[in-house]
Amino acid sequence: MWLSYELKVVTTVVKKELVLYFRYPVWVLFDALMPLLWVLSLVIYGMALVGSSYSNNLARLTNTGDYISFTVVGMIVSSFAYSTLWGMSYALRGEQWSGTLESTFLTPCSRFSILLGKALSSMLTTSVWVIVQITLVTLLLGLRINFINLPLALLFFLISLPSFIGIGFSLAGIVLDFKEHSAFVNFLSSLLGLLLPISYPLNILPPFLRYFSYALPPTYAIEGMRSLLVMGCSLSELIGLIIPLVFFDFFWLIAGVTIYLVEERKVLKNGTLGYY
Amino acid sequence: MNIDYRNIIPELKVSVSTAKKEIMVNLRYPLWVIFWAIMPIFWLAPFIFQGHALVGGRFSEFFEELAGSGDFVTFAIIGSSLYAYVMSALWGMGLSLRREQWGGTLEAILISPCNKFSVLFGKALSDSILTSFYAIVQFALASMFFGATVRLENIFYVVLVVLLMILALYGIGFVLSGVILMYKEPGALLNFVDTLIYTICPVNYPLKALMLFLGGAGYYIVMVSIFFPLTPTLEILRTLLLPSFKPYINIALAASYLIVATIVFLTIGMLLFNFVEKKIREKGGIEAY
Amino acid sequence: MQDYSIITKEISKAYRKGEGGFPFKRKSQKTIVALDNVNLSIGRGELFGLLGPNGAGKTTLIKILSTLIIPDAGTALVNGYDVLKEPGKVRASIGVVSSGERSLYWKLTARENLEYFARLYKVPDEVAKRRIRELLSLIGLEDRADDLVEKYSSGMRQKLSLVRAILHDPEILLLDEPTLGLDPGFSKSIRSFIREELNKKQGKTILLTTHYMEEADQMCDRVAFINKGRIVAVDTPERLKTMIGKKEVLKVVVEELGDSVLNVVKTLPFLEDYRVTGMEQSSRKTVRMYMKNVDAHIQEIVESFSKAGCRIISLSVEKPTLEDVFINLTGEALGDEY
Repeated sequence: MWLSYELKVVTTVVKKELVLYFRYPVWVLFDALMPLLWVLSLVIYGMALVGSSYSNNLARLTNTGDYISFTVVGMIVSSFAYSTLWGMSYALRGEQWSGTLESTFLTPCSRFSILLGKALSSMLTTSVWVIVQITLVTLLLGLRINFINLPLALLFFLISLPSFIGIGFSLAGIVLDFKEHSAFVNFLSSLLGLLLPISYPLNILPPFLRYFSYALPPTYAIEGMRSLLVMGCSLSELIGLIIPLVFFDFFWLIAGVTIYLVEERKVLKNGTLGYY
Repeated sequence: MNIDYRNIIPELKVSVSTAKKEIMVNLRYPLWVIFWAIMPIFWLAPFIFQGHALVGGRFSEFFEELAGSGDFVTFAIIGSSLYAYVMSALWGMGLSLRREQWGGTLEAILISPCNKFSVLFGKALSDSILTSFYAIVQFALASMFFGATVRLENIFYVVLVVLLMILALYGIGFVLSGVILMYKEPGALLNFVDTLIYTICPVNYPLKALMLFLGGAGYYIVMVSIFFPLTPTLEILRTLLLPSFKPYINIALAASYLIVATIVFLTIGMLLFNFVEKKIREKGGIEAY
Repeated sequence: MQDYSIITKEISKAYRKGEGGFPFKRKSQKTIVALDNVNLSIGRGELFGLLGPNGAGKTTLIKILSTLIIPDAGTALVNGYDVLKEPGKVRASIGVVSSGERSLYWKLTARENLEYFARLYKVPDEVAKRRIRELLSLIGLEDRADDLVEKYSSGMRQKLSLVRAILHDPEILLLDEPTLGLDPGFSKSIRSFIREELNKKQGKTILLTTHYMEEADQMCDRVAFINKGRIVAVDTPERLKTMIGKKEVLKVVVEELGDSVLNVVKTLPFLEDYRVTGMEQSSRKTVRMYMKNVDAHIQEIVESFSKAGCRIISLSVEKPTLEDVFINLTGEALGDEY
C-alpha cells in the first residue's frame, strides 16, 4: 500500500517533469544539439591529430583504435551518469526558483520519491537524445558498436545506477543548502570531465589523478560499457569492475540518503528551504 | 544618440571609476578569482590527454600537415587561453543588462542622465582587465603542467592584436546584451552560442581540420567562423607565437577585419541600445522574462 | 478539556542572518528573534486570526506548523500529531496557502497542477477528478481550467492555490496572508469563500495570518495579536475592541510644518492617548486621538491645529478598531500606511 503510493508519486513526478520539459522548447532544442556539437569537436580534434578514424596509439593502449566509437560511447555513458547525478539537484534548484519547492514539500509523500522521479525523467529525456545522437553519429561518422552486447551493457548500467542515485541524493541535499548552485555544478562537472575516461583511457592520466578516477563510480560504468559495446568483451571479463561498483552502490545509497537528510534538516532549521 | 564631444573626458572618468568599482568588488571574493583562473585548465586538460592517447606524445605529423606546426599542445594552450575572452564577452557583457533587469535596476540605468555607454564601457574595461589576468594565469599554468614552446619576440604585436580582439568581442557582447533583454531564456541561448563558437573556431584544432572532415559543410562553417573575431585573432597570434605555424587566412586581411568588426559591432550595439531605451519609454517598461 | 486542532507549546525560533557564505565570503552574523515562547490553542472548527505587522513572526509560525521550519525550542500538535515527530501525518492533515503566487507551476495548466498535487496527496484518481471539477466551479475557474497558470491574473492564481490546498480535504487550513496584494474584488470573494464555504459549511479549522485588521475583524472567531515574535493578546474581535475602554477615536489628516503636529497634540489635556503616523519625508501626517466625548473637543482641536499653521485635510470620528487596540498594546502600527 505504502509502496504503491510512493511508486505512484514517482511516476506522477516523471510525468509532470516531462510535460514541463516540453513546454520549454528552447531547452529541448538545446539538449538535442549540444551533445552533438561536443561529439563533433572531439571527433574533429581526433581527426586533426591522426588523419583518420583509427589511432595506432589508442589500439596499443586499449585493444581498439576506433577512437570515434571509443569517445562516443564514453560520452553517452557519461551523459547518462550526469543526468542522474545532476537531474535531482537541478530540478530542486528549479523549484526553489519557481517557488514550488515548498508546496511540494508540504505533501505527505517521501522526498526520495520526488527525487527519484526527477532523476528518472532526466534519464528518460537523455535516452531520447542519446538515441537520436547514436543514429546521427552512425550515419555521419560511422559508429561501430557491438549491438549484441547491448542488453549486457544495459544490465551493467543498471548495476551502476544505484551509486549514481546515491551521489545524486547527496548533491541534491548539498544544493538545498548551498545556494551557489551553478558554480558548484560547473566545478564538479569540469572536474569529472577531466577525471572520467571519456575521450581517453585511464592510463593516460598522471597516476595521482588516476586514484581520484578510481573513486568515481561513473569511471567503472564507462569502462565497463565501453568494453562491452566497443571491445566486445563478455560480462565475466568485467568482474573486476562489477565488484567495486556493487560496493559503491551500497556505500553511496546509504551515504546519499544520510547526507540528504542531514542537509534537509539543516535547511528546515535555517528556514531557508524556499530561498534561492 | 547625441554624443557631446566636450564631455568625453568626464565620461571617461565615469568609465574608469565604474571599472575600478567592478574590480574592487571582484577582489572581495578572492576564491571566485582563483576559481575562474583555474577552471579553464580543467577544460583544456582533457583535450591534451586525448591527444596523448591518440598520438602517443605531444607531436602529431598529421597536425603538422594541417597547421604547419605539429605541437598540438601549445596550439591548444593558446586557443583555450584566448577563449577566456569569449566567455567573458558572452557571460559577462552579454548578461550584464539582463542582470540589471533581474535586479530591477535596468530602467533606472537606462533613464539616468549620465551616458550609459560610459557605464557599459567601464564594465567592459574591468572585465577585460580581469579576463587578461585569467588568460595569462591560464597560459602560465598550462605551460607549467603541459609544456609550451612559443616565440616571445613578437609579444608587442601579440598584445596589440589581443586588444583589437577585445574591442571587437566586447562589441559583440554589447549587441548580445541588448538582444538578450528581449529573450526569455538567455541561459540556453548563451550555452548554445558558447559551444557553437568553441566548435567552429580553431580553439583546439586548425581551421583546415573543419574543411577536411566536414566536406562541403566544412567550407561554409569556416566561412562563418572567420567572421567571429576569435578566429582571425587566433590565426594571427599563432603565426606570431608558434615557430612554424601556417595560417589559413591572410594575416593582414585578418587584422584589418578586426578593426572593421570593432566599428560595426559597436555601432550595432549602440543602435540596439537606443532602440531598447525607446521601447521602454513607449511602453513604460520592457517585457521581462 | 476542549477539543483543539492546533496547540503550540512554547515555540521559539531565531534566525542567524549572515551575508554571503562559505567559502566565498566571510560571514557576518546577527541573530533575529522570529518567535518567542509562543503558546496558542486553536479549537476545532475555529477560524483563528493571527494579526501583526510585517516581520512579526506570522510566516515563521505558519511554516513551523506546516513542518517547513524546525523550531529552536518547543513544539506543536497539529490535528493531534507532533510536528517534529510525525511530520508526514501533519502534512496529510493540513492545507497551506502562502501569499504570493509562486506556489504553482506556471507552465502547467490549472488542471495539470491540481492533478499533480492530488497524486502527491494520495487522493485516488476518480475522487481527484471529481473534486477538481467541483472546486474549480465553486471558485469560478472552471472555464480557465485548461489554461496555463502563467496566463492567470494574480487573484486567479491565489484562488487556484486555495483549491490546491483543499484538494485532499484537510481538516486544517493554514493561510498565510491569503489576500496580500490582491485587488478588493478578489480579496472579498476569497474572504467569503474562506469564511462561508470552508469554515462555516465544511467546518474546517482555519488559522489565518494577516496584517489587514478588517480581514481579522470581519472573518475571525478569535484573533491573536503578534508583535516581535510574542503573542500580545488573544480574544474575540469584539472583546479585544473593548480593551481600549469606552473611548472614541478622532482621526485627523494634516499637512504639517516642522514638528508642529506633535507640539499641538502634546498640549491637548483631554487626550488619553494619541498616535502620529506618516511617511518620514512627507509633510502629511495622520493623527489618531483617543478621548472620551469627542463632540465636546472637536472645535478646540481644529483651532489648535490652525494656530500652529497646520492645514487640516480630513477629519473623522471613528469607533475603535482592532488596529487601535493593537497600537495601544504594542505602540506600533500594523500596516504600511495608516
